[in-house]
Amino acid sequence: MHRRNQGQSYIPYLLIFPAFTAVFLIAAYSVFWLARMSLVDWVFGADWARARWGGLANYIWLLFDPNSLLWTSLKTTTIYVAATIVAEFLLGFGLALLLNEKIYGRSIYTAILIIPIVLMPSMVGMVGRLYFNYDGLVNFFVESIFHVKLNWYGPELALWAVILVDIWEWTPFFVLIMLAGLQSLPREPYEAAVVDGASGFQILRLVTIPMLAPIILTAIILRFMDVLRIFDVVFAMFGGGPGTATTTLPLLVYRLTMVARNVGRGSAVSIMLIILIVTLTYLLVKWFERTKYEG
Amino acid sequence: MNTNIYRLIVMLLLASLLWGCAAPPSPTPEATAPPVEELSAFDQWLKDTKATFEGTEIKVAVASHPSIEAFKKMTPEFEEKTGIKVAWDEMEEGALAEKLLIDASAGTTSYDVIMNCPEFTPSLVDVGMLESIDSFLQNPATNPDWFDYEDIETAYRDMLSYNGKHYGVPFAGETVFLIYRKDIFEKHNLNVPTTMDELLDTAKTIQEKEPGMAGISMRTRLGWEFTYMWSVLIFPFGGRIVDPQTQKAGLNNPETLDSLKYFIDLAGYGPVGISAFSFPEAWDAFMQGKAGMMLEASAAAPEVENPEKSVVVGNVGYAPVPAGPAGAYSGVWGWGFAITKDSTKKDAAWAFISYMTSKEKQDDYLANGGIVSRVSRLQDTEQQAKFPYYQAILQTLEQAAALQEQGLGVVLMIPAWSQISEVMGTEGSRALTKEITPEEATESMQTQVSAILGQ
Repeated sequence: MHRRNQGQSYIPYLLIFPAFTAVFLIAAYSVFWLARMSLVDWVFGADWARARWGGLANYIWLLFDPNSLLWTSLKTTTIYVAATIVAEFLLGFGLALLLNEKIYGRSIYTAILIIPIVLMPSMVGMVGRLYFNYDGLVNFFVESIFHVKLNWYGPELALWAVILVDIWEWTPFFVLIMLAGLQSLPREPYEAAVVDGASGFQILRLVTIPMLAPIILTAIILRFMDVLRIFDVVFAMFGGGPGTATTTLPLLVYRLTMVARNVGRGSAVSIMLIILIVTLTYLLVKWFERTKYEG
Repeated sequence: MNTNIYRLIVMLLLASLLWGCAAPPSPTPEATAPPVEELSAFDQWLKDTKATFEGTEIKVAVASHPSIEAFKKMTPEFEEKTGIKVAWDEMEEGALAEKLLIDASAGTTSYDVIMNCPEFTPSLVDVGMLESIDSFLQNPATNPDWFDYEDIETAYRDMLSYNGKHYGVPFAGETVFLIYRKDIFEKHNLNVPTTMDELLDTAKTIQEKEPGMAGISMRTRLGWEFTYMWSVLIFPFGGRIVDPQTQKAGLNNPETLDSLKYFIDLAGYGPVGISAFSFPEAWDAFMQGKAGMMLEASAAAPEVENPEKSVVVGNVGYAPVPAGPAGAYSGVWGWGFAITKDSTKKDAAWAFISYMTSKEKQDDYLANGGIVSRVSRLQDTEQQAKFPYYQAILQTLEQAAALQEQGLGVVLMIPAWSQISEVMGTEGSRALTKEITPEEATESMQTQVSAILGQ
């Protein structure tokens, strides 16, 4: 048994080789170039021959110069990621539980939920910009409920306006994944729990959540990697402003590279962003595997 | 019986056909020979062009813009009369800049004509992407009377020049001026502000006396829009972005700082949320009657006067930029068509540009939604009566020309401008939102811009 497997073990590697090589080379080539560009002083649009070697100067400027916006954007990004993921997960889980009940017209609700995801993000951003206008739709509801109008365009609330749009757009993603997860769960543990006299909340806490944990974590990891790269909606709504209120890291990369045309600094932020995403995702996956085996 | 009727009908039809052939409308020998009439210079040019360029296709890269819509409507006639095919490649403005820069770093482009603006010019010329149009302008054959280059506003003509050479024929220029509500001014007995102090006071008065109405609307969004509007205010205060004599950054000059503080104060009388206003929001606030004044590009005027979009039509007045302590100046900006160095069809490209932007075709262009850029039109009293903003545009363009004469402009004609503009727009926007103080902002700008300039 053991020996026979050893004889064939090269076949899977052989089969995966072409696809892996293609993906790896393309990714490696881009990352290699990105890393190289992060070490030079080069104005976008100029001859590559005019690029000057700068060593770690770009990184040092970004990390330590008082005019660098890296730390402010990191803070903005952290707020953005934390707020959207927590809200989207809680709302998504709640909605998934509701939709998992035998309610009338469930497939229609599910279909409607997909709409925000399939909309073009830049369009979502443009519409968001209109809705969060001082005289826009959002303030109409806010005013009719709380009798005040909020300045969503101001530096205090602009980030929260974008976060709300993100929640609206991506909560359905959690709903769909967790709904699929809920529907695939076995019936027996529930029956056992009911027989043992567990309350609804106890069933949720002790049966549903542990069984659903792998799905929940997968959804969070996928969304986490995605949300760290968020660009289009923020760009279309506020372009990073007012001030630096909505300048998340990807926005900073864009502004540095394409607008300020400082390719070196832009690439350096990209490299740091990649390191950040890979590290955090790795930690999340580790944690995920530990929970899976313990659970 | 029936067949007979059919025969009759068929015969009648045939007869009528024959009648039509046999009776041409009163043919006299004199009229059949076309009168020996000389073709106009323009028609002759069209004929010659068709003979030379029939079947040539030129590729044109443009940003989405009302003027481009107008040109597109004029294209079928152009193609028919000159035989030149036009392949429009239209994209969003930011995408055009990126596309051209990518082509520039690759060192080659497939376009013959590109839509050029002041910001693009220095860097595209520096990488050798643009061909100067001076040789076409100096040759009377390619600069005929029906084209009339000199008729284009001086300030517009010079905005696309770099190192003393011209890189494009402007067709959609704009300048920044003051747009105000005549009815509100009358109601509160206000005079049109002529100084920066009066402007601030007027904005304050309107804000206080007119409930639900802001004093003044402007664009102040992070990035180039902040820079653009602030730059218009820098020079009246005597400030400098870069000193043309010393080539040193002048952003932490006390005068520049004053202009930034003033801009922030003025924005304080703007509509709620002004710090995120891009130009559409700024225009909208004024057009919906939510602001008493607007300091904006003249491109806003046709919109403001459009009864389908604006509720203030008929109550709007226009005035040049009020004077600051150092004088009254405004900026100039706009689009033009430039020819690429790589193009193998430069003559056809020039034929296209001179046709589209000519005086001869100006009426067509404007009727299709184009933007006025020619003196003959702006000075026409009949047109001035129809378009209440023409007079103010002319006055404001004089302010802009006065600035150009000193070697200054709201757009610096150096390749590093987009980098400088981004620094000014970012730090300025941070000062506007009280993230940092105006002093900190100008100091930070000075440091960063000096570094960009290599000082």
